[in-house]
Amino acid sequence: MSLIGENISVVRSGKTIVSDANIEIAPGTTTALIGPNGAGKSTLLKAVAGEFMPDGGAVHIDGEPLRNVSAAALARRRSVMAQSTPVVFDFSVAEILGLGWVQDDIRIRTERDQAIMQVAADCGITHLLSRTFNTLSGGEQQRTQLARCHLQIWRPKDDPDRRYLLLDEPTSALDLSHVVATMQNTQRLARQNTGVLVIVHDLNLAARFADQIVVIHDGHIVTTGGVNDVLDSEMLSDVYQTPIHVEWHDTLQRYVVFS
Amino acid sequence: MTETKSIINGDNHSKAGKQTILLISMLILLIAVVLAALVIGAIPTNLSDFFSSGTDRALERTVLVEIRTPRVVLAALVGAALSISGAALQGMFRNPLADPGLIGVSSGAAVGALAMIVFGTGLAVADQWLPYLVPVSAVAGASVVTMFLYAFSRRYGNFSVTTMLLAGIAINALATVAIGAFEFVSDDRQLRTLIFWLMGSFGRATWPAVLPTVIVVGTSVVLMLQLARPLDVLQLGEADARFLGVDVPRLKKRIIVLAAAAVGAGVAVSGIITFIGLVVPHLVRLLGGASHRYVLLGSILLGASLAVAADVIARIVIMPAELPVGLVTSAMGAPFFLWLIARRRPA
Repeated sequence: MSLIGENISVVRSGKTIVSDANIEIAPGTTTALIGPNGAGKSTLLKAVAGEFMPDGGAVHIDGEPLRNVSAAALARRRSVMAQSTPVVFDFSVAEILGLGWVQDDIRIRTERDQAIMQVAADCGITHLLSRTFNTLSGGEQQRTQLARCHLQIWRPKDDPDRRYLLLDEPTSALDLSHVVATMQNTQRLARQNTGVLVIVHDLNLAARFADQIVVIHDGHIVTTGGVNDVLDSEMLSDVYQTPIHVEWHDTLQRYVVFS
Repeated sequence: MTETKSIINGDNHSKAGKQTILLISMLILLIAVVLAALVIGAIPTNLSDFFSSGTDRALERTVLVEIRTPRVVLAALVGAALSISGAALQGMFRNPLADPGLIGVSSGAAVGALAMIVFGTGLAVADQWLPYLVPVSAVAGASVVTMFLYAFSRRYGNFSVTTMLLAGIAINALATVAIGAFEFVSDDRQLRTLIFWLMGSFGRATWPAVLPTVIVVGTSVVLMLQLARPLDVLQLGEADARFLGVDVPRLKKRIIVLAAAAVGAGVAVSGIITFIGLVVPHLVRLLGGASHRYVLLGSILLGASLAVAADVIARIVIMPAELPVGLVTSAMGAPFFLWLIARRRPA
């Protein structure tokens, strides 16, 4: 019972962007998708998210083909943060956040306010709620969008529902402390039976927060596995075309990546 | 945590509360404007004339019941239809300058209506059905233009403000060609109708002409109000809206059909009235925020008030003659439009 992409191929204008890729996002784990620019990371994420039908292969969510699940039903257990479009009209941050509430038919209203409060606090945007979204900085907008994605698959504590959270560079506009807070936040969500897929450029983030790392290069999945198995100096140097060195850090008690 | 709760709830409630107060004020304004519009005019009337039965005020009664009331009803309906359609189209295109007049939807409706007026007599239908065929043809014309704009925006990806206005200029130019051709082949009586169309007026309102408009505009407005929440979600972008469970192609189809129906049914009776669909949603957003439940409702109320008020102005400035109401709305709307362009944030 996972979100599984099998033999995914995506072709755009005659060029193969993703080729025969296999990926499994299991509830309870964080999967980091890494690779150089143009490797096909975002395309693979979008295909798994169901933004479009892949040209080859299929996506299954908890054993069910994705195309058989309605957009509304899918929205209740899978949320996606892709590169966002600017919002034209002046909505407040609270209103933008509220758009993530898709559970109206199964949850009562009091839980909605409680959920909004909780994700706002988790993502550190409580003090921004009454502001106009358009006047926020890039990082604040990114945290708001992230909070909206969290709200979309929010469940009361100890609810056993399986859910999936797919994030395309959720920390690209954030400062260091917010990067760490965001990753800890998604890690906490993963422990509540959520399968997290996150695209990151910082290999140290992947090393620190991922349970599983998927390396993609030129549309092909190079390797998939645990941090210890995947973070290999030689393979990474080859993929990124620049010398990369992976080393065990005794104080931090984890692998660190130098380039 | 309790403090946070009061911040978010306080904020949400105060914003929603402010919007409710604004909507109530707009409703009161609409009632006041409608009552004023019923009694002001070349022949002054009292509201009590509705209930008079004697012969001493028979003229006033006829004016009030047969002429002025359908006229006010039509003005309110067309104002509401143009404004809510403007708001919905702006939401769909995520573009604040999408006015049914500016982007050519009204022209499309006018061409459809005019084609039926000029060539409809050649159709093998009884004369009493002709008033119904004109609105149908107008709706068809409006739909063609809206669908074209939609296809155009899909084909060329991101539909910028500039692209949309340029497309509108092109469509309006094409419509002018069609209308010019109609002028050329029409007889004297038809020509007068044509000119009336191009200026816009509520002066042709009679109960038989207004009734189909009541039905079509009423239905489309009620159905459009159901789209408030998905329209809000759509503001995050089409991909994100889909991730949030909105069936985006279906939503767009609905907006196109409903906006075209509302605008077409209005234009079929009143001719082209520009700028209301642009100005009203803007004012509504400026007053109370961008959430579509508020914007759509507010556009109905304020749009109806504005159209009725503009019609009163058109009726009284050169009494006993009348200005076309389209001139009044353009005179108010065009400077507003310039101001909008001037204050636009650089993209």
